[in-house]
Amino acid sequence: MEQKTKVHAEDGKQDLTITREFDLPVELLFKAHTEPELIVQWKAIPNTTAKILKFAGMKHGSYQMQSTDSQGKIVSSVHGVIHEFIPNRKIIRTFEVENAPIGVQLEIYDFEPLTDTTSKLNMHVIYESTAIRDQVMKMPGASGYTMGMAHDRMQEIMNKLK
Amino acid sequence: MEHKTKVNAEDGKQDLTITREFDLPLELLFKAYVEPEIVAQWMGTRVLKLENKKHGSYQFETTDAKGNVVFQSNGVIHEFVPNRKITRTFEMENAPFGVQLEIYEFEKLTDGTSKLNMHVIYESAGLRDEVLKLPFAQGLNMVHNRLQEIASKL
Repeated sequence: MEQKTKVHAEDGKQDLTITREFDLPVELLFKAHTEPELIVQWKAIPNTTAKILKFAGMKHGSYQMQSTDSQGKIVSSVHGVIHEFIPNRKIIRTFEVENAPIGVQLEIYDFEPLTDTTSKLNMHVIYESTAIRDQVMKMPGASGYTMGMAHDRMQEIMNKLK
Repeated sequence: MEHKTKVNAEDGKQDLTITREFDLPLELLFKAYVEPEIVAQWMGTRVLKLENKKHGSYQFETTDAKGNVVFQSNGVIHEFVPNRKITRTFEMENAPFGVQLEIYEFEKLTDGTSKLNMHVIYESAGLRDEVLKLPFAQGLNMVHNRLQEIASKL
């Protein structure tokens, strides 16, 4: 089956784009990315619990998120700062997985309305180098497949809020 | 005369590096980047906000003699390690250059000298090349000369 979440990475570049169309009005798509109670539901890696330690969704804001396994052990810790925050349109932020050798990335999220009930997410992710981007793409957690599964979960969760 | 500030931009890439050695102890070089009054002097700008910490942010504004705003910039600070490293975003407002990710590394050479290593990453190779068409290297060299001069007196 073809993945609905598409990752496009040109050879030799240090960035990539991710696109996905959702059966959701753009307002709900944006909400799924900015309401902590919703984020933890779809972002959590299977068999872990995600917790938002900080989420200041605004220009010059920041965020911090942690995932723990069933024994309460921290399996991942991520954080970043929010450069730009335009409701229902755009978020520009940094992202870093702590204690991982993959540097800091700049992420640009564009939220695009298609119709009254459908919308598209356009992500542009820029890494510190081509080598780091290529390394990230080999990690199971960062592949389009995993991202696609998270997006599937988001679609399902947000369907209930329509 | 050769510029002391070196810009290295590989063809077709969307990033570049900038290096400069200063006749300043590491601590003084770092101070020149974090103390608002010193930043204002060498950058020739007003520092409206400068929160030197992880998850902080900053905002600069430059006005001409008549008080008209000629330049505004802002960004967020992702990482802040005193005397070592600052990772931040930077955006020139009302300019078509997008947002850039900047990594500043402050390196001690000797007790009296230090080196700044900057890695600047743009949204695209096209945008980086647009920025390079500005008197970029020359401008940077000039402000770094001013930094050297002002910080030497401290």
